[in-house]
Amino acid sequence: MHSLQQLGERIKSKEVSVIWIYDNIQRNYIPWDQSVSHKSEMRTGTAATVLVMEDVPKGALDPTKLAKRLHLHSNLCFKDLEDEINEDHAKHIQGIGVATLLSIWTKYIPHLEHLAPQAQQLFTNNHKKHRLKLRKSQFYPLKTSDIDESRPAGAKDVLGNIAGQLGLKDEDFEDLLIPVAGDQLTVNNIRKLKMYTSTDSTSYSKHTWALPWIQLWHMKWAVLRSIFHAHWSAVDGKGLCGLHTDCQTLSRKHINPGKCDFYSHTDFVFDTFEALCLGALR
Amino acid sequence: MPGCTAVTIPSHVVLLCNILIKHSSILRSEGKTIDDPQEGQSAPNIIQELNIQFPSDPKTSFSDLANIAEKVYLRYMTSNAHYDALGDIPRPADVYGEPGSPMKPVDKGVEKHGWDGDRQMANLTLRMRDCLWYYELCHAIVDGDIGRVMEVIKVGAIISV
Repeated sequence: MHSLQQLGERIKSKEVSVIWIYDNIQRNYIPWDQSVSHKSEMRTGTAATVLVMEDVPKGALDPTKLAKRLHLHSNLCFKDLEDEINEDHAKHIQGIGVATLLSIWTKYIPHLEHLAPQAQQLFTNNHKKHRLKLRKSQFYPLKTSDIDESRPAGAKDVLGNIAGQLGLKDEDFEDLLIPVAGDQLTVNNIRKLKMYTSTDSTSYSKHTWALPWIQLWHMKWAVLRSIFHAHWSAVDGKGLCGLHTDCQTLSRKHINPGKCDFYSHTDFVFDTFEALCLGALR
Repeated sequence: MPGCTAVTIPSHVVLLCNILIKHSSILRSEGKTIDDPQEGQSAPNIIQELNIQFPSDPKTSFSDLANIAEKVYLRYMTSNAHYDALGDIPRPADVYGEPGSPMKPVDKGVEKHGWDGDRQMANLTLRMRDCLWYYELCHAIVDGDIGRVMEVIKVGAIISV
């Protein structure tokens, strides 16, 4: 039996829990001889991967429990979220703030270098929460498809395509809950899809089994964008502080808050933050 | 200076630190002054200054440095510090020390009449808080500590710490 079909059987029997990850792929198609019916175009498709999750507690991915919890929190408001933050959380964040400052200072100031191991220990001992074990991930790349996943209908086709490649049938999804990870657009599309199909008859067609989940990298990117949105002064870079001023000071050429490329902008935020921390020590 | 040549400090960090020293509203708001470099001279190197501030003999103890870090965190990286800079909450002396002179806007009419806050300081505090959370989010992911990631997401979602 094909390895993907075998994986499908293991998913069905709940022997393993998996995440489905997918994103769009785009390729520019340029023909040698262009004509009205044969011209350059951007072709869009989808690439998907199935990732096996580790250390999943028994019953953690139970759709019935999830439905109950969602019903319980149907009137969730800001106050509820605020009440969730207690003294312990505030202490943890304070501890992390102190440890971050210490790690930056010991990293750059030669006379404090000898304290660097103790600063690092704060992260690995005092403030650790749930460190994952180091291991090799089990992942299964799937066949690419020509589905455009940028709309809810496309997301539905992609999910159907992945289920087909794994050999899963409609009835297999009755008591399954599968995190489907991607970027913010993917999460939005799956949420819409679940809403649009909520009155359907079967679990599969209602997509109650799909749990939209933003990937950590995309989450970081969203936070980065929010930082630039909040702290980049659009007027000019002549103020005393602010990302715009620092960008001009450092003559960084590839900083564009509208586009917000991940790596160059992350480097910029880290550099300025570390410099501010050093400045605060003085 | 002994010790300075042992570690390679990225030039952009030194440059930025020097400029921040000169302009930082943190320092001005606390009444500290920075000597401007004379013509033809470069600005003082913050790494060298900090090296003098924390000499190698006797070595700085970890607990002393941690106490300073705690004060810096409470002064510049919390929502309370932001509200304090805006003049919304009392300013505890054990955290902030003696009050300095807040930055005042050059353009009159920008702030309400009688408002006694420090807008530059408040904005900088918010920026340091947000950058700290982003810094922690990135490093927690690299460390493989998903618990720390969730803690940041939790507080970041409502911004209340």
